Amino acid sequence: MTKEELLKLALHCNRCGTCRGVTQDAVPDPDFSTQCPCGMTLFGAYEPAGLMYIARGIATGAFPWDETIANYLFACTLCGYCDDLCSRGYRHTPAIAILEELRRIVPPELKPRGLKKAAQSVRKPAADRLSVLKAYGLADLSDGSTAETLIFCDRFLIANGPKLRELGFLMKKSGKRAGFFGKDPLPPVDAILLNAGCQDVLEKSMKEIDTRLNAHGVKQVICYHPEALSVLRRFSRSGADFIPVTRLYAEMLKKKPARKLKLSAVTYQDPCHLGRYAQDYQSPREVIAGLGLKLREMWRSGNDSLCCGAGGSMLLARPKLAQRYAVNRINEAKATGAGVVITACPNCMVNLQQAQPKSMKIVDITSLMAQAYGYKGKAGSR
Amino acid sequence: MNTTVINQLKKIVGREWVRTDVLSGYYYGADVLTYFGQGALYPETHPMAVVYPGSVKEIQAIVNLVRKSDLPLYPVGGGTVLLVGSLPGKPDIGITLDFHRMQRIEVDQDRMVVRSQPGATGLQVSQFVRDMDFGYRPYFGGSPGTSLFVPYMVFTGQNKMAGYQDGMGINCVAGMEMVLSNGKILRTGSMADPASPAWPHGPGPALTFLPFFANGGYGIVTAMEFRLFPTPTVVNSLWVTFPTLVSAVNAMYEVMKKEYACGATVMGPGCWTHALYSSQHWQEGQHFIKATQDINLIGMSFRGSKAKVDFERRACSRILEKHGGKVMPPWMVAILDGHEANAAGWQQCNSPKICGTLTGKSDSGGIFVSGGVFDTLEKLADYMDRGMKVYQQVCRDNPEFLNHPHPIVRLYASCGQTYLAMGGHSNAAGEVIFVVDFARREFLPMVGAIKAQFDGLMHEIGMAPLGVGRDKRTWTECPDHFSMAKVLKNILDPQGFLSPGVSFPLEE
Repeated sequence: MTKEELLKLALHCNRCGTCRGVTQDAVPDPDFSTQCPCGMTLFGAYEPAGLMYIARGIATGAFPWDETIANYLFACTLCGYCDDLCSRGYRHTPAIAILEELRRIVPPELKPRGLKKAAQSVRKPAADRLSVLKAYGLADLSDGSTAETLIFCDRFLIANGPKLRELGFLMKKSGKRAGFFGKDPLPPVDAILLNAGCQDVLEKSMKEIDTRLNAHGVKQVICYHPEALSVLRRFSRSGADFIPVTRLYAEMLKKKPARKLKLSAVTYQDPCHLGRYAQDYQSPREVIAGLGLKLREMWRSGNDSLCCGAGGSMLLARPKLAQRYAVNRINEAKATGAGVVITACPNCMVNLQQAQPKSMKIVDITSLMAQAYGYKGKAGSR
Repeated sequence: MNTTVINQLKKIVGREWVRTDVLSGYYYGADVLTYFGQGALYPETHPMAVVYPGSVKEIQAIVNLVRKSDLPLYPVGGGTVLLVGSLPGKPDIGITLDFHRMQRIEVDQDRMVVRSQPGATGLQVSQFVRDMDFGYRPYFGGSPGTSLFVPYMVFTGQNKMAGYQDGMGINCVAGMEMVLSNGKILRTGSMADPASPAWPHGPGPALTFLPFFANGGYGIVTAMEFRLFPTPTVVNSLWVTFPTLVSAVNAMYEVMKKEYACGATVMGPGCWTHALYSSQHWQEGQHFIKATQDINLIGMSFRGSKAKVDFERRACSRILEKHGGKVMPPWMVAILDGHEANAAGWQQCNSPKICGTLTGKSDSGGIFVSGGVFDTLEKLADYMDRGMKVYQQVCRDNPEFLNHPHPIVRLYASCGQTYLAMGGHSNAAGEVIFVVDFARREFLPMVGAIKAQFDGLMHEIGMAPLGVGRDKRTWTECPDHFSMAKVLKNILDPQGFLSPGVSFPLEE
């Protein structure tokens, strides 16, 4: 994107303030009626319209990059609500495209160290950790075998053996024949690359992924991590169908009902990359219903859902700020009267737990599914 | 930069809530019409610092500090929208107060009021009271996200058309709390005694409307109370076309005298502005414009019980038809249903967003408004006629505007405006608004010339400028009114450090 193009996009924003609110009729607490984690926590130029001024300033040369400007930029969770809400009106400011471009062009020395490091490690997955999936009957496509369905091993799964086992167990229970790249894993792409402005690495990784998916005849890719799902959907040209693991779970429950779980009322945190980016609000709710749980929705839910604060790789970039963002969401969860928050994203899990909700339990939907189908192994952490 | 003052401000509100960085400077010092210094209608004026107070006590401390330091103070409500208003009048030395940290909203059901702090938005208040099955009627409005106290420093934040459901009106403000320039607090109307029943002009001093349009020049409004109204069972609208604007105005007068309807508006040719305000899609707006480009129109709504709505609607239909009005066919009303749907859904378009939407593209340059209010309806047709002549002249003088595929200049006049016709307060004021949508940013310098022509006409008519803002610094063209405003200003802010150069010119 040229600076002129960037400026043109940023100038779509007329600061009407629409992005600040939530489009619904009634809320029980004014604290739950605003969106944008950084805007409603830090205010002013941290709001989406303020962030658009970064693009204006940089594109026109009105001010240079410096640490303060970078701090503003990396306080945003890239949850996409401002972009989404704005697009429902007349004059759409493509905030996500602008913010991703800004993260691309920000000088590397101003990028948060943790984020940079994580982005650079994308090509070095620990291959041997995935072999655990073989025990559940999944084929390692690195051996030359083919499979129409593939489990995409993102960096979270690679690092989390218990979660892999839960997933493997559920795959076996589903009866679906699937494979994975074990010995020679696929580059575990996810939103970290975009958040760190490493579009070039992403592009290269996607070429490899597309080539190998096509070479092995993969038609369907199941993604555990919503961030991997949304990135694959956005950037893959392989023609494969990328589906969230929650969709698989919902179908499983229809075909083969599981044991009903006994839990207090639950609420559900929509992960931004599953909901807003991948437009799947339904399947997790089908799973919750299928598990016999009583769902109490938060006011900001579905396509008006509030980011937990971990979006934009905030856990790597500015973990304390992410924790601060999470507090408002936990308060809203508490206000529903639910005792459990279910989510389908490991980042949401970590960040909501960070907010120290003493009376709330944060649970991963995969762990609940595994439990419901009788998994006896160690529960996946996080 | 005055580091001593900055450090003292940090002591008052906390280090995190004082910002002096360049991005905050741009965010609070520029708006869509400064356009980062390119083709601007007026220059950027950056503040020295932006401060986010968290309480009235902190505001009092800030006011005392700033007064002693002889620096200007510019409050900007929730700081969500700085369109045509609220930029510092003095560059680089001003302290901008943003009330984002003060967003508390409370409902007092016993007294039927909702109390709000200045950082809340109209949307927040609406959502909150609707959860309790109430409605509230704010004063005027911009866009749904707008903070309540900006740019007039008193109650914007709701699209005008939302009035078709809940109504709106200046008289629905029951009381307010204001920090004066000496740091003391003034509480008016219902806020003077929280234990008393709330009514608009009591029990406290009847000064509730004093700071309206003052842009923080008289004091800093830190809380306001609105009266609450039960959510109506039924909302309905009536749209009637007229052969001439004069006949529409006469019909309007009769409706207003009867105190029927809720939010009645007369619109001349080009009345599509209102349609665009609330159409759900740009196609609807376009459809409506094409259908109404030569007509005069009255729109009004009714709210309450089914029996009341039916009765009022029938009565108004009879009155309007007697004056030559023709009730719009259902297909056209269906387009306008957006007025009601939007009142509930908050998905309405708002003025900045309608720019260039007639082609469904988003490459418009922007929008600006010039216009005025007047206190009688009789001359509306005359004003419209004169406005049209200016419009034609503008088109002749600027053929590149005329030939551009986007609509460039539009004009509408209305009277008995929504916010004045609410709640039985039919003050029969009107407004003429000349709106320039410019399709490309490159046109912006030319827009200044067009604006000057409209301003000239407005001045000639003798109207008060509509919208006190960065480019409309005087309250009114009427010398007597302005003299009175200056007297009040000298009493309330003798040092002149509250919002200098915004409502009151710097030389004053």
